[in-house]
Formats: sequence, structure tokens, C-alpha cells
Amino acid sequence: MKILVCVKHVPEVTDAEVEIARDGRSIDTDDLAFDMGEWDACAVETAVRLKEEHGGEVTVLTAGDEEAEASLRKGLAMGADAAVRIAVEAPPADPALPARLIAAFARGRGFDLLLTGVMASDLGYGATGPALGGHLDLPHATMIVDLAVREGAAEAVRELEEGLKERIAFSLPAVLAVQTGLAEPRYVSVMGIRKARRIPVEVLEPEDLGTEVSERVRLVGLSPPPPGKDVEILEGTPGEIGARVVDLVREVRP
Amino acid sequence: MTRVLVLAEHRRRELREVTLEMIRAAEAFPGAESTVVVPGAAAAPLAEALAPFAARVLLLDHPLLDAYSPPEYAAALRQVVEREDPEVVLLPHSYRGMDLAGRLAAVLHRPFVTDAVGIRPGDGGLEIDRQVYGGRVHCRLVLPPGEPVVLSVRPTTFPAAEPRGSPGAVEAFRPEGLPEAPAVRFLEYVEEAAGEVDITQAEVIVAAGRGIGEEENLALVRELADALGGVLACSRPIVDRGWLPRSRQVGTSGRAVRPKVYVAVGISGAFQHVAGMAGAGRVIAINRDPNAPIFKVADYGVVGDLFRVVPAIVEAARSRGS
Ligand SMILES: Cc1cc2nc3c(=O)[nH]c(=O)nc-3n(C[C@H](O)[C@H](O)[C@H](O)COP(=O)(O)OP(=O)(O)OC[C@H]3O[C@@H](n4cnc5c(N)ncnc54)[C@H](O)[C@@H]3O)c2cc1C
Ligand SMILES: Nc1ncnc2c1ncn2[C@@H]1O[C@H](COP(=O)(O)O)[C@@H](O)[C@H]1O
Repeated sequence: MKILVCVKHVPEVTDAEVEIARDGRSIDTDDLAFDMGEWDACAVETAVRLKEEHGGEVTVLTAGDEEAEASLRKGLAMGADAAVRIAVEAPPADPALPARLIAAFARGRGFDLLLTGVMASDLGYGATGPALGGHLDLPHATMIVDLAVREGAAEAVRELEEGLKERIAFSLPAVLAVQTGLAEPRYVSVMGIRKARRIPVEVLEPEDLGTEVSERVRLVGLSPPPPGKDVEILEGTPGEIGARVVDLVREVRP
Repeated sequence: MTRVLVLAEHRRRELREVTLEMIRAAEAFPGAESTVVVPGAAAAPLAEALAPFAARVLLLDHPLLDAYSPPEYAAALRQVVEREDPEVVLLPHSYRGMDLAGRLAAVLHRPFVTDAVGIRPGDGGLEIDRQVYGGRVHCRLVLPPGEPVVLSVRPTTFPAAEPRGSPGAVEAFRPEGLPEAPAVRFLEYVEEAAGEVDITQAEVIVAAGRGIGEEENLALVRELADALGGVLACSRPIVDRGWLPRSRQVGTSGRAVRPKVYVAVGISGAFQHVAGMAGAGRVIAINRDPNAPIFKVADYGVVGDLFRVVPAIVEAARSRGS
């Protein structure tokens, strides 16, 4: 089975200082750690497990700058066999662009399964998998939390709101957007990293794929989020804060 | 005047509330003329039910569309778009909408933006507000002026539409050339097994997030829940790692809860989590990151290391008795 996994190299922003850059249109990335997206790591794990079960080959792909190759290396270390980077500058603001570039690469290459994450944690469009399905005219499904692949077909469980799920069936090739929880990503081993080093990353220009980088959605600017509720931050010694929290709870639920 | 096509959403023969929100969102466009599209032959009663809320309702009268399959949904909607030529196709950023928006835009060759939390039509193009980087940054985008677009809007951004003076017209349209069988076949719904506790009934909830770091630290949050007479719940990563069952998860893909007090411990406040606790009375958040989005929805906050703060609260609760 030939599997393509799309990964995006994203900054880890939880628990980090996210500052808007001077240009007002990007964030300062100097002090941020980047990694393969959380959802994408589940997708890579899923692909590698399918390969281990059914045989075949896993390609990890990103549309990004040179730095993004670190996420491809991680994918290789997790067990992917080949890595491709479609060379684009900074991550595009237009949600349509990655899918268009990835489709230009994937077309005619005989992938049985194309995996993406449900959403990239930076811009959070949650649109690339479905758009890819549209471009390639393949069935797609998102929020996949369970997957069983048979000869040329698959059954999956997709999550819906409020704890409800649905079981679906479709033929391959297909595009799937993977939800966290489908497969807990493995830790990369030293051996994996060593093996990954020997595999070259194939770099393609959009022009090589007969397409180009053009964006129809334009970023106007970034700003701090609007104020929310008027939160009261509790101050004092741990003992004082502890007592205050207990009061706050018992006030409403004695 | 702006022609807006609003996609209705239904499940198990019931209309989903987001549909009314999208009808309302359409009013953000100057001189909006909305048509609400209701997919599926079996949805005829729902189309009728929507008539009071919209000027015009279009039933996609085809049995293949009774169950959702993205390729056929997109193909049918493409025919509607060709016929109606709307400037805006509007859908909710619900699970269904998320599944469809990118594909629909791709087959229509229209520019799109998903998960809008603000809409400002203008001469320079449609300006959209979004939350990016986990809600830590606000982003303004503009869609090309004069071009028809596809747009999805975050649920709960707009209130539900109210019934209008006179009910709108209901028309039917039968898409052509759809295949015999859907590409993505619905087999069955899978219900979540009921958990040992029902967190939706709890008056006090103490919820653990990824900030606890390790599974063994769950004990600390459980202790807090016990000390406060509450029920232990959690965010999604805790369930994904198998530390707690799905029935304890709060959020869009978990449960919606409405306790009198919600204590969030080491939870960043992603909108998918916050959506599940919006009904909580009093929200107390404990997080070491002062910029965590959870503090935007909390009434009280403790900025600090949960490993210091939580034991202090447990201690205080115990020393005062219950
Ligand atoms: C379609 C979809 C559906 C989803 N449904 C849900 C859902 O139903 N429920 C849900 O919860 N999520 C859901 N998610 C996931 C959601 O987007 C977030 O990824 C998730 O809520 C993050 O969980 P968290 O806040 O626990 O973890 P993180 O975002 O990693 O936050 C951890 C927090 O802990 C803080 N912290 C770390 N260490 C400490 C310490 N020592 N002391 C104090 N604070 C500390 C950090 O500052 C950080 O703010 C969904 C996502 C998608 C795409
Ligand atoms: N630039 C990119 N390169 C490769 N894959 C991407 C890129 N952008 C998005 N994706 C994939 O699409 C998924 C959803 O991203 P998004 O639609 O941007 O939220 C991600 O989890 C990735 O799998």
C-alpha cells in the first residue's frame, strides 16, 4: 500500500510567549520551538502502522520552507520511507494553497491513501484534507478515530459532535483527515533518527509540479485577541489562594 | 444586495441549531438575500420548518443526499451554485461544515476561509476575523473583492435567527447525474458508552488538562475534585492518551456540561474545549501561563504552577472541613 502523509511544521504555542512581529503580519518565531503538528503525528503513526500490517511505502510531504524539513526528518525517523518538500516560503495565509500544491504532487502517483491531520494548530483551518479530496476527486473523510483497511477498501469511524460517532465505508484511494487518539505517536528511536539521516529529502518547486504559489486570501494583520471576561486573578500566598478558591466553590455550592 | 446561500445542517431528521445561527450570520451582508439549502429528499419537513426563518428555502430533493457523503454533497451544491450564482456560500464550522467547506471551495474554484468569528463586508473585499495559534492571536484576513466566496463561521458566534414576519417560499431542486451509491457510505451511528459517572449532571467539576504532564499526576486533580465535592473531568488529550474514559471529556467531541463551578487545571482553553463548558456558572482556571486563552472565559484565575496551587487548595478544603 502506498501512503502519503501531509505534515505541517508548526510552532508550539501552548505555554509559550507568542509575540506579534514588528510587521504586524506574522509572529516572532525566534524563541518558539517548532514541531510536526499534533494531528499530523497521529497521521504518520497511522500510516506507519498500516505499512507494518499490510506492507507498502510511506511518503511524508510538507509544503514549507527549509526549516520544515525537520518535521519530515521526524516522519522518517518514525518509519516513513521517503520525504518530499514542496518549496514555499512562510506558511501561506490562504487555506486553499497547501491542498492545491499537494494535489499537484499526488496526482498520478498512485497513492492508495492520503492522510492529513484534522487541523494544523497554527492557523487551524481544518480544510486541507477535504480540499485535497475535492482536487483529486477522491472520497474523503475527516475526524477519523478508527480505521480498518482491506483490499482496496476501508471502514472507518468518524467522530461527530457530543460523543456521537458514525461508521463509514469507502473504496481506496481516499483522503483521510486523522483525529488525535487514532494512534498514539511513537517516540523516535536513536536508530530511527540515524536511518532517517540517510534518506534524502526530495525538494520540488511548485513550478516543477506545473503549479504556482498564488494566494487569493490576504492576511491584513495580526493583533492580540480581544479582551474576554473580566477575570479576577487571585493573589497571595498559596495558603491564601487555596482558602479563597475553597470559598469561591462553597459560595455557590455549599 | 448580496445573494447568500446558507447550507442547513441536520442529523437524525433533526435540524441543528447552527443552521439558525448561519441564517443570522447571513444578515451581516449588506442587503442579504438568503436562500437556505436543505439537502436530502427526506428533509422536506425540515425545509418547511425553516420557512419562517428565511425568505427562501431550497430543498435538494434527492434521496442520495439523505445521508452525508462529501463528493455527492459537493457535486449537488455545485449545481445549486451554478443555478443560483450566490456571492457567498455560508456554512457552519461544525463537524459537518469542517468536512465539507474545503472540498466545496475546491470544486467551485472559489476562495474560502473557515472558522470565521467575525464578518465585515466592505468595498475592499470581505474582511474576516479569525483566532489563530490556539486562540492566542487575532487574525484579520481579506477575501478578494468582487469574487464569490465560500465561508464557514464558528458555531455560537451569532445568535439564532428569529422567525420573520411572513414565512418564506419553499422550493425543490433535484440535482442531476448523482451516482447510484454514495462514495462514502454511512453504515451506522456509534454511541458513546455511558460512563460510570455522568459529568453533565455534576454541580462541581474539576477538569484536568495536558498541563498535568504525566498520568500519575491525575491523582492530584482527583484529590482536588474529592476535596471540593466535585466530579473529575478532563480535556481531550487526557482521553486520547487513555488516562480517562471519553465519558469524562468536556468539549465539542465530548460532553457539554453546565456545573455551578468549573475548575480548569492545566487546560489552555482551546475553543473546542471551551464550547463544552460555556454553560458553567463560575469558572476558576489554574494555569501557569498568564496568556492562556482559558483566562478569557474564566471568572477567577490562579496564575501559577498547578503542582503548588492544587495541593494548597486541597489543604485549605481539608483544614476547613466540609
Ligand atoms: C475537531 C476537534 C474536536 C476537539 N474536541 C475537543 C474536546 O471535545 N475537548 C477538548 O478538550 N479538546 C478538544 N479538541 C482539542 C483542542 O483543540 C485542544 O487541543 C485541547 O483542548 C487541548 O487540551 P489542553 O488544554 O489540556 O492541553 P494544552 O493546550 O496543551 O494546554 C495545557 C495547558 O497547561 C498549562 N500548564 C502546563 N504545565 C502547567 C503547570 N505545571 N501548572 C499550571 N499550568 C500548566 C499550559 O500553560 C497550557 O495552557 C478538539 C480538536 C478538534 C480539532
Ligand atoms: N503546508 C502544508 N504542508 C503539508 N501539509 C499541510 C500543510 N498545511 C496543512 N497541511 C495538512 O493539512 C492538515 C490540516 O491543515 P489545515 O487545513 O491548515 O488546518 C494538517 O494537519 C496537515 O496534515
